[in-house]
Amino acid sequence: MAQEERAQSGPHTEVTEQELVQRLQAGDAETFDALFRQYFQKVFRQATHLLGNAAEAEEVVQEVFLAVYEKAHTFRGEAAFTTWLYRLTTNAAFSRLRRRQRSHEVAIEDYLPQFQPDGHHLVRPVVDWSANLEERLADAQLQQLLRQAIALLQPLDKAVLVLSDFEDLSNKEIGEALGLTVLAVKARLHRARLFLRGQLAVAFGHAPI
Amino acid sequence: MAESVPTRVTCEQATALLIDYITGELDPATTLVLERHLERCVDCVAFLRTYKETIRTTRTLRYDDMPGELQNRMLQTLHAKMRGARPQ
Repeated sequence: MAQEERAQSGPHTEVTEQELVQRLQAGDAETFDALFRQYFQKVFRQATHLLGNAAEAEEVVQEVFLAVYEKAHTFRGEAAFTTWLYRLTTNAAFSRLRRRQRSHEVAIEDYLPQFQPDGHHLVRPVVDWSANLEERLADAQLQQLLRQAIALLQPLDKAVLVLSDFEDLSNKEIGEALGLTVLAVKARLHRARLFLRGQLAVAFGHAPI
Repeated sequence: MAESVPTRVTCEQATALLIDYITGELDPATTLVLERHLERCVDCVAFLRTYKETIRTTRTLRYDDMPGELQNRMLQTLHAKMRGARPQ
């Protein structure tokens, strides 16, 4: 996300997000409203993906923007404002995920590909179920299936997936937001996608691996 | 000294390369080795197709936006909380 991202602060003016943050640091209340209106939907979307429900996501939006107000002076502009916002959102969502009772643990490994000692796929043939997914499963069912599968991911894997596949951040940007190396981001993203693939395979009646 | 690229990969190694392959981030030599593997491995072709379809489908997942009236109510709540809080 570019530092120069333009943000609407009024009907006729455009300022950079950097300028908006500087005004906020100076205590400008109107700027807080402008930042909220500019970014709350982004925060809400990320939190909903991470938590799986809108009610908790709304609470996270409040927590995040209160933190933006209280901690604006700590924002040094070394990363983009949106990166900072993603980090605050992830932290707020993670603390809620940690408080949740783990009712049904799923062994992630059971849905990852497995291989024979010589490196071949363990279960062969691998079935290609990629064609006409939408014709085989109603859209609502597919959406529900994906939501449930994403909910089962480990929190950090989920955060990486959300920022990559829903927010379109680069691996470098995700690393900055979550404090991970690019290699670690890729490893977690790959594992999350493999797990979702396994879940879809099972839903279509095939071996997950 | 340049790192040598293996001339063959197993299905397990091919699977590990997919994340970079689909975004074109693999170096040309490794891409060639992987594509040679894909030419003769129907299992890995099926795996690649389902892997790509998983990503495409995941990206279609939607959640409703926050309703407009809630945005305004939330902003009012935040204003009230901000009056009670001081920037740290």
